[in-house]
Amino acid sequence: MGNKNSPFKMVWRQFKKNRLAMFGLGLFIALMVVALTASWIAPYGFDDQDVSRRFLSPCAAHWFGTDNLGRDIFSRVLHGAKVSMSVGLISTAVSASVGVVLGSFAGYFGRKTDNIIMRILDVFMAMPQFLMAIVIAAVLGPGLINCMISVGVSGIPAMARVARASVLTQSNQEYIEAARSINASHFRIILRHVLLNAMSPILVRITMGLAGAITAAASLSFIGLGIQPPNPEWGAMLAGGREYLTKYPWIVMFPGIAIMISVFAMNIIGDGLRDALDPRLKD
Amino acid sequence: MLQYVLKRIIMSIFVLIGVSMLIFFLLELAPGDPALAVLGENASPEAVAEFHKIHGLDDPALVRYARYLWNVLHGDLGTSYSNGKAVAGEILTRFPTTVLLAFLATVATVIIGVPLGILTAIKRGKWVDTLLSATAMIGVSMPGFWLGLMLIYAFSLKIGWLPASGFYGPVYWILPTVTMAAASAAAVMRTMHSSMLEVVRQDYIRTARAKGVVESRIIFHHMLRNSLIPVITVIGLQISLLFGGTMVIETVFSIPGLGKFLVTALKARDYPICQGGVLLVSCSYSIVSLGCDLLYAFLDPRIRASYQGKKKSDRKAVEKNGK
Repeated sequence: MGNKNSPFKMVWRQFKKNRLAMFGLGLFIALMVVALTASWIAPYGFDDQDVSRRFLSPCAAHWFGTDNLGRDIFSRVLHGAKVSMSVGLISTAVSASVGVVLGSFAGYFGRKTDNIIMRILDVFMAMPQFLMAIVIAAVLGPGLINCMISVGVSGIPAMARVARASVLTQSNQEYIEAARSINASHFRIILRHVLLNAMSPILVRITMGLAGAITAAASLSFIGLGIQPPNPEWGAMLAGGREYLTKYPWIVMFPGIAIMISVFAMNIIGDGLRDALDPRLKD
Repeated sequence: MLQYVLKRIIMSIFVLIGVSMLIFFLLELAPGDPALAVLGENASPEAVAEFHKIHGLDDPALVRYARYLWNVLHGDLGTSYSNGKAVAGEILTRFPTTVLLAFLATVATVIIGVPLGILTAIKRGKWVDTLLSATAMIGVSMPGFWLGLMLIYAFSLKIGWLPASGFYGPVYWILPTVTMAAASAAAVMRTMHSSMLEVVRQDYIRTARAKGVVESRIIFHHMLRNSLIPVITVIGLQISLLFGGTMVIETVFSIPGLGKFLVTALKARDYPICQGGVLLVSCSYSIVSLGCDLLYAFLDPRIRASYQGKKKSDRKAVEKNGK
């Protein structure tokens, strides 16, 4: 893969030209850095309460103001990056790994395998994805890990569908027949040949899935079925600040902006990736 | 065509039975006794036993599921754990509110998303396009519940034009509808935009231009109709998102609909309500997706033709060519 024209380098070269997408990538990297270093760069701890400093509006000492328990919202938003990004990444990893395996099996083996897998997924797809996440979250109970599981599992069917469609276009190609004729194992064909060529739509779906997972996790926490206070998850912060909306809107405003920025970053990366991967769309 | 519709409806019935099974056994997996959740942790053993007896909880799960399914097929969705009322009545009284909300949001989505998508595609690269596309990008990224809270803050609490909660008349509908439609409209606009740009490059557009068709006719007759298919897919998808979104948005605006009711029931572990509610939502969703598929056929004669082919092999061939 070291040569100059490897597919990954070609995609990267296309991607680099897209300024908006590069901006998204920059944002994403910045968010990751914040998430990883929150404990050091945040001026206060995420649960440092100070009753004498309740409901301060944004000022020099507290950039985003303080909440009903006198906690610094800026610090909580920074710490929240860690929670939201890890929920997003891990739940997307869950849906991607299971979804891609199911989808590529269905697409590659076809016939009975395809039928069984897809009919089961049909049942899952008959429910709106977020409803599925809510039900699983309610069954598992609130908490960080459970939130990851419920968002991840609810994303599996959509991922499997994309993977299946993409694999399906590859499995009738001649190079697959060639690989079969030299007695390559199914496992090797799927992993080394089919998936590598079918990767583009799956990659785009993963990026967009990450954006969806962050929103879904925040929504779950907002309705009280996800991550619980005092954990500084952005959705949970919003839920906590809701009753003070009239007088102290900043408690709700800043976590929401944080969610928006991270979802925005993932969306424009996904857009850029799609354009870079699909030469047909370029003008 | 009729055959196809019938086939789809029969398929949906099986899928819905699958959904009922999935939900039943998912809830079965939840740890703890629902009786304790409903009656309180300190309920006496007699009360718990009584609760089990009333709701038939002592039978094995499979027996209970079979009984549940049998009852559902006879139109009986069971009784609520918390107040003993019939589930069907409880969810059906709240369902119209949710449907109205989802319907209004869908209409707003289409009314805003489609024309703006066409506009940005026609004015490609101009400032209108740049401005609207950037707004749409932000719109897709905004979490609905946050937008709702910000709108409540601006329009109810500060200016005082619109009510912040409830769902009693058109004035109350505005904020939740806008909240729900914002992200969907942005998504529809983006799809409409790229779909139009895809169609612009087709040969038949060049042909139409070459033979001197008026530009407005090219846009609305040739381009619009051909670029609608992917847009309908996205609208169908958005309706599914909207149905999921009602859970959150109804909570934000304290709307007494099915979404809020379901969330409350899930938290209180009122399983019959959860099962019935999920089933009803899935049922309406499958009707929507059937409607979308029929719309494809209505809009695209090529797809229609593929359903009319008598032999299965013909249909497959057409489907292949269509892709």
